[in-house]
Amino acid sequence: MSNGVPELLTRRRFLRFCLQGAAYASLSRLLLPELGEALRLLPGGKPPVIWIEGTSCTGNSISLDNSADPTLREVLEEIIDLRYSQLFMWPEGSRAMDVLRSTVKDNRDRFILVVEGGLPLGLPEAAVMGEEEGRIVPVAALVPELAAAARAVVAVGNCAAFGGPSGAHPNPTGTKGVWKVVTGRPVINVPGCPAHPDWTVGTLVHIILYGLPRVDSFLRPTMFFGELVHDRCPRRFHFFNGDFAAAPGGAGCLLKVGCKGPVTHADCPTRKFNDGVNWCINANNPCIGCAAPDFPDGGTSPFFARLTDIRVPPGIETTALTVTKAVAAVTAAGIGAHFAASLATGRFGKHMPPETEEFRAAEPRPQTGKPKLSLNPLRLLRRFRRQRTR
Amino acid sequence: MTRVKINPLTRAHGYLSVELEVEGGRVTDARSSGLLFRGFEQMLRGRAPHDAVYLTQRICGICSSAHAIAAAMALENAFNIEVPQNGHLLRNLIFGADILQNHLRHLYLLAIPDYIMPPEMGPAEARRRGDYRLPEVLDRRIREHYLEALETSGLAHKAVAVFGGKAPHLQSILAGGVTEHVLTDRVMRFQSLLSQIQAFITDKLVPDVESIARYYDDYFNIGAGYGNLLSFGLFPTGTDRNQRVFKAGVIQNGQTGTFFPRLITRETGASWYRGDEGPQPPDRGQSTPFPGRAGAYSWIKAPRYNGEPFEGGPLARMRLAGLYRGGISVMDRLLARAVEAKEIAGLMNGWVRQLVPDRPTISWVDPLPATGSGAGLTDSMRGTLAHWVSVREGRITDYHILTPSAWNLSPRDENGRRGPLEEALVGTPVADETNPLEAGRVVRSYDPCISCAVHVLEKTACAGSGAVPEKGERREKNKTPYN
Repeated sequence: MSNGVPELLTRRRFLRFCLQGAAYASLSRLLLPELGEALRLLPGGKPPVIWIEGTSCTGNSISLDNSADPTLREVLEEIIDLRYSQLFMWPEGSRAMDVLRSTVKDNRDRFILVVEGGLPLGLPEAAVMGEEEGRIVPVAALVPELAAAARAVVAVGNCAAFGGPSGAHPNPTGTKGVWKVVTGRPVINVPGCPAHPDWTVGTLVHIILYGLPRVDSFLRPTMFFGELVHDRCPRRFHFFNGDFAAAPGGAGCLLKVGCKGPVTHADCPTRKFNDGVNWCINANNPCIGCAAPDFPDGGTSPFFARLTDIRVPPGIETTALTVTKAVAAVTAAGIGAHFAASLATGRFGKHMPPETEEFRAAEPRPQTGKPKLSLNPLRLLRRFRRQRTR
Repeated sequence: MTRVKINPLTRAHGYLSVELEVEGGRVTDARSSGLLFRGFEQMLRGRAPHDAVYLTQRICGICSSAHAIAAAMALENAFNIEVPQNGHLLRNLIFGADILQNHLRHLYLLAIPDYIMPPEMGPAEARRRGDYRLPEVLDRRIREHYLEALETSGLAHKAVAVFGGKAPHLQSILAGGVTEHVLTDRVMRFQSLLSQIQAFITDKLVPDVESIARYYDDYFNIGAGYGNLLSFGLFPTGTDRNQRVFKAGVIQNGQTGTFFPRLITRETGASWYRGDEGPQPPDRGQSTPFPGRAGAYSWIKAPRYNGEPFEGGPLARMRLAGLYRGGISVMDRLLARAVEAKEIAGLMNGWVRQLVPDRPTISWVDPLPATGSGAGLTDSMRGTLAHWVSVREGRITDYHILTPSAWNLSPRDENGRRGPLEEALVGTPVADETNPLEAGRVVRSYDPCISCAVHVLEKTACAGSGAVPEKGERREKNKTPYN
């Protein structure tokens, strides 16, 4: 087992807990005692966490405090040693800065850096986290500095991951995501506005117990962001039946009132928000794509404008209404697979305005983790054959 | 005279720096600078009007419902949209739950740590010295409640999400009403959560704040400030959005008066802007940033009412409603917040019973008329909140936001008058200049939120004096390493 974690809680079991989301009440109480035991046996005890805010609304800190299983109290007592957090920490002024510096000094390559809020690269003074020896400490300069000594960097929330609302057009502060600045250390993006506490805590625990989680090309952990909201939407059958809501508040599929579920990767439909009590589509409200890399611009804006020319294989360019007509010809399962394939191949990108394309073209696409599973059956067959001949 | 600076002022939303001048153990002058800017008013220009309700929530992660409601009210005012009664009630319930959430978090997670010894865990400090007076038994009990509050405040957000979709940044309040329906199972769940929160408030929150007030009674004489209180009114009673459960009003020199929206002005006397000389109406603004303006030290503009600095918040509301009869001070602000939490929880129980299942909750208008302008004024957790929207050709052409923390944390105005927080800090005793914990107590009694306070910004803007570096220094900085 990696990191000297005893065989109490295997990675496979942990992933199952994460993936099954709602079914097991996420990182459930069943998991916590085992987790606590595993963490106690780690060399050096609970790993220190430094939580820095950039151009943020503190929504992700608040969301973390909404964590239900485990609660923030359990997280702080059992899982992590949260040393620095603008919102939660007790010391203030120079003593707060001392805590930050001493934690970094004593825990080089051991602490996890969490960043909430974007980095205002165009105007570093837009987020000043404190003062040292009479000089201001801009977050945009501090984060790369701290990251160089961190074990891993977790960008929590859409602003830290991709710029998000803080970097919304026309982006007055020149805000960018953390991965644009930090080099040489692993960055994990946990988007969402705000990020679900399970996503944040789950990612931290994975790093602590098993090392870096598997991520996609946007550096999002696939255990939480592997599927589209549309994939497991409880209203998917309304979509197939052509039963569309005419206004927010309606009961049918919300595609026509702007749902961005077909272009947003997140497990909201199974995980739901606030201890599983509700989530956007369940509240009869279209997904606005708050976990998407281009939120709140590009393909997600305007929030109530419908995604147009959705393409479904075999190559039919169509609107949502004709999609449903096409469904009549093909079996629901069949088209579902095609639909998923079209998303995987990025055909949905087509509807996005030019700036989105630009954004995507400009993004570095580092490939970490194992290669993505191809949905092309031919390729799968070839791979299978190759494995057999070996 | 010694200059004392608290930077970062932690346990606040966003980055705040407070600079004090201390002489003979007392604060003689104070300056507060907000050090976080994003530029939301600019971002809103050119967007679809309905998007404002969701995008403005992103200003603040703890009072998102307040921005949603103010934005929805502004659009409803601009386009004459009527909200169904169920929609009104659901909004009040969502907003009420969010206010309880805010008060729980403010009191336990942000303010109470100023008065008790820390528990043994990460974000607390290992040892503490200074003026901490609670007897050990009481201290231990409140410390345990601090840890419990880490859990209970999540319940309040869960209650918000029952009708709000998710929290923070909820997805159900829109211009015209609320998308979530009145279903019996939801009503039941809401009521169950509400009673749990209510129990925590009456059994723990109120007694804890009262005990702290008993042991720290000198704080009834600290942090008075100007004594000017302002409220825009909270919770519309029904279809007339101007009739509020907690009425709008003004208290000045101990006299209660009527509130007139046209008396609000916005000044830039000590803020890094130019273009607007003298007091300007708050729903317009031509000011452009002016780096290095002499005497300026904050990005927050200075809102004034009838030319005077005013503070808002639970104390203003409870005093106007006659539910709190104390004075104006650090302890009065904390006590009024506790009283309000108890009061709102009681009101919410009444609203839940008025809900009628299967009646409409929203009247959705889309597309909206191409042209219109409107205002949405409401009180929120920390005080008075206003949104002004102008729409032309179906797009937002102008959006202005005036937040509670802009009032409370405002810098000096054109006449050099201090903002309410700055005035409240003057006269505060500081026993140890290396550890000015008394000043922290005054600041946190306002529940400061810098995320909200500053949202106007142009790209070319910067510098000045105080915490932000000089002009030349910045240029150098811009070259490296992050450009």
